[in-house]
Amino acid sequence: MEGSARKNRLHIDWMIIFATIALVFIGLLTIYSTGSTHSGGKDVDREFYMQFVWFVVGILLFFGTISISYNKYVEWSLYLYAGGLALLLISLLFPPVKGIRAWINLGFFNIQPAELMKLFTIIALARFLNMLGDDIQDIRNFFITFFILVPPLGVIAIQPDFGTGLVFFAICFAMLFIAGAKIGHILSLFLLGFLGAGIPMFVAYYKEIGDLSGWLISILSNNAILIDISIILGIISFVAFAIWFFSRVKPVLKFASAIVVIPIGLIIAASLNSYLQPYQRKRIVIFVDPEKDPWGAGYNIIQSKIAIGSGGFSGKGYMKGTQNALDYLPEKKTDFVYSTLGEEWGFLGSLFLIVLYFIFLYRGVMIAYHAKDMTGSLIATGIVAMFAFHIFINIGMATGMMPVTGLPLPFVSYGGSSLMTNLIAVGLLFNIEMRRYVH
Amino acid sequence: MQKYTIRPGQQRVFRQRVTTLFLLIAMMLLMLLLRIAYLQIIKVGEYEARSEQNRVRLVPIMAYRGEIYDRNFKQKLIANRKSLCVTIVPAAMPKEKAEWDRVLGRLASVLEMSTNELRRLMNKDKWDQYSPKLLKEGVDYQTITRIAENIDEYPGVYWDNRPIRVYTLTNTLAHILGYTGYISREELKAASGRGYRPGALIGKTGIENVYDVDLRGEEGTLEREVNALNQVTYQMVRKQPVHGRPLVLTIDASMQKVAQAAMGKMRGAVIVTKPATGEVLAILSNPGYAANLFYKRLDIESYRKIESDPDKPLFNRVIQAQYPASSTFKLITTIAGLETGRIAPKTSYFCDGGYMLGDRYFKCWFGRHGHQTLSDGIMNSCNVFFYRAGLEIGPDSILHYARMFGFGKKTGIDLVGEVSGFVPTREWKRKTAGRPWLDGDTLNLAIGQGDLLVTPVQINMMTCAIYNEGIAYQPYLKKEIRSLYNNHAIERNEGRHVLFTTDVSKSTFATLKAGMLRVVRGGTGSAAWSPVVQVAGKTGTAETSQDTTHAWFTGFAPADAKNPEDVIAVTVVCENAGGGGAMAAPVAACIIRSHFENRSVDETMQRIWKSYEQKPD
Repeated sequence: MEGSARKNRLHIDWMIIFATIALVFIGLLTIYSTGSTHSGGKDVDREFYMQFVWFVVGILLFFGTISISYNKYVEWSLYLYAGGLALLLISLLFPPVKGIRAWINLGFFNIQPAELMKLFTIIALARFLNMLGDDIQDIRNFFITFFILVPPLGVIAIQPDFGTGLVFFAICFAMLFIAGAKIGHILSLFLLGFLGAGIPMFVAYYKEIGDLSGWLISILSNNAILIDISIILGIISFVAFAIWFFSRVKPVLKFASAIVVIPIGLIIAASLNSYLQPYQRKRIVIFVDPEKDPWGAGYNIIQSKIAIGSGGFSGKGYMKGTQNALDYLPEKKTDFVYSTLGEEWGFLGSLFLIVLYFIFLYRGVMIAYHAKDMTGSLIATGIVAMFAFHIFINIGMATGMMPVTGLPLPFVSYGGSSLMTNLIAVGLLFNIEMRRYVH
Repeated sequence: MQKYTIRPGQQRVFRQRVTTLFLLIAMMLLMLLLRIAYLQIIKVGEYEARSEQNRVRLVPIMAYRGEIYDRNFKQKLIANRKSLCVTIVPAAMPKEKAEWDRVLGRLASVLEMSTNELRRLMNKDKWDQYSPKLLKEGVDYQTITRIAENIDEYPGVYWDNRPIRVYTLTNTLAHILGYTGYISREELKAASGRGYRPGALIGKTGIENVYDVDLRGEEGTLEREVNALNQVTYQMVRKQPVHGRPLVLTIDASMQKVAQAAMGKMRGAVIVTKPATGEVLAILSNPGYAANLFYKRLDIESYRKIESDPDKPLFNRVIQAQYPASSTFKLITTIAGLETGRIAPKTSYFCDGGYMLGDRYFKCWFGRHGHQTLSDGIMNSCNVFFYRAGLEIGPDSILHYARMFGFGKKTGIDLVGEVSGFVPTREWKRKTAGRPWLDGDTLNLAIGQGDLLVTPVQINMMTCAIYNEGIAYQPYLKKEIRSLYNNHAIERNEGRHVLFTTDVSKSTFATLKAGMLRVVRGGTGSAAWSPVVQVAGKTGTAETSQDTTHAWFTGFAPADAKNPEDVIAVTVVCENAGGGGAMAAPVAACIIRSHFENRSVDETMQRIWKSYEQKPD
């Protein structure tokens, strides 16, 4: 550790730069490939050029972001947060695209304010949690933290954009975790939400698209099983509570409170499962997959898996994917960009992609670890959580592990707002790392 | 490392948690990798097989294009008719030449077409190998069955139901309605982002083009699974097409038919509008062409014939032909004179057949009119009157009012290709003729000859402005768009978009109208007289560089209408046909009289041409 005698000692993280550029490059290659379907390689859709432009703009934004210390952004966090919220509200005024009102249409190009809002929320959360310090262990403060999410989530729920909403939760949980909140609180809440809300949504979705064949689904949709489990666990926790009541042994209380969450969650899930009306189920499905096309979801996933699977070990070769399979899907440049990549580059290519993301996320975590103050660590954590969640959802969806929620694959998917926001985020990471020794 | 809000004891927790987070993330990535490995390594066999055999295609389902109706929503001007057609996807054909030729040969015999023809069709739009290319339309069911039963001999061949467009009023509205065709590369680029795909139908000209977005609806998607033998194993509608909605035009089909019958074989243009709103009730450019011909897209010969026809049938004379205005322009001269005070209703001149200017003699069309007041001058279309009036008034005022009444500018009617005519200026004269504006030019200008060029629609707008006493509404063709489900109007064009306004006084208009009434009652336009309504108008006989003249008539009726909405403004021009009163006025008469007298076309024609030995054609 160097002494602070050297002011402004800049610490440049080359690994992140390399990973970022490599990912963007891969994205451009893939977009190029998907864009040249109809002409067999001679003509390319304009998305390729647009993405390149976004990249250049993003680089400029990157340099802009690193020019001021990130603490300044934290100072401005309220304004940034309010500004982002305003943009989100404005996006509601524009007509829906693909079923969602998530865009501001400026004629020549579109902005998706939710993307930027993720960053602004991260900064706001960082400031708040930093301010709380140890008090985060108090359960009241724990819940209050979530209030910061309410305004943006409110707008996002109206749009509606389910996937993006989930990202906010992922970010919040990660930041709470690093900020030192009690594990018990985090896990309980997570479990409660996951079971109580997640299960019914899961079940409703698959019921609507008519595919109840998976082993998981058949268990989760079966209320009898859910209730059985609840009863068993409920009894166990009741017994545990009783033991604690008489023995006052602290760990037992912890055990009891942890266990009791599960039955509560399952009961909520079971009741939602049965009381949800068909139209409410439909609403959930639309909420999750706004394209309102149950066949579409199934169809897309099937085609995606075929594309990926048929890539085999080394892929079919660049631009040689049988793109006819996904031919008329506009999503093949956004949600399903990985499918083409997997098809053309095979497992080796996929491995390379995952390794790049690994390097990126690893560096991100290290930056969080070494940051000079809690604020920096928290911002870095939020950003890492954001990226990790996107990657997980996007590739998970493309490989058929989860329902279509429309989250872009960072740096690779086509999308100006996403690419620029991500480059700004890299800028923030860089910012934190650079000023590690600067006080 | 300074964490200024964490106590030393907490540092360990922090470190632990960061490490935990990292491990969670690493696990997540590993899980993804395992899943990917599962698909790409373990299940690769299955997916490869499915990728090869299980070729699911998304095929577009063409939406029915909106049909086009006349204003009463009863008569279809353009209708859809179902038609089975055979298509081929070049990319799906066999790669080896021998096999390719064999398939082509089989196709040729079953479709009864030549292999050259097929080759030509397949090579169209070579840049697009994946869109199905149309080979033959209107195929009968047996042919399709024959292909289907031997589908393995026809890789890449598909068939579907594609509605074709048919005209019901052949010829008369050809230019106006336009035609459709498959989108070209340039059109695709120009329309990028607006939902057009390669292989889409797009309106190329006319109304089909101007209102393409409303008419085309939205394509649906058909999910079709095809096995290795190219047999369709499964087909499902993934997205229902949204059919184009009916478009109601302002055109009155019966009036249009009358106009066509009245024009017969004469070349020229007719346009009838409603001065109160700008609606176009009839619009006709002769000769038209059998637009249904454009739907046999394979018939190149017919197209070539049309294109090289010296009568220029593809030319829309109503908006694209520029003629000398001739005597119809005298109305503008009158306005200029009255407004500037250079002439008055009681102004009179003596016509002895011509006017001597310097060493040139400017003839009147009639041997000798005698004393002509302004009203007489209009009624008889006396050139001498206007020569002399023109000199009094001066070209600048006349040109000023010409421009005020919309000449030299496009009307902005909802068709493509309108030209703006031409209004000369002094500078222009100097530049092009190398000499300044002379009195002789003024004489020509005053009677609507010389450098001034107008389109029929512009003359019509002038006529409307005269009836409306100062305001002209932009002409338009789109009346309504209706819903497919309940036929109610979803969009309605109420018209009354102001094209131009004038500051001409009421008394001037009164004088003009009175004069125009006399034209029909006892003047050059008497052929347009009707026993049922008061017709006001003006004839014109435009000199050309040849021996023949263009015949003009423009007017409105009823001049004394209680409700302005009942009034129609009719403008007719017959190329190289003769005198305005003799040839154009009767055409207007047919239109006016059949409309107001409620007779059939034939009855009207008989009545009018009976009093006129010269029925053209």
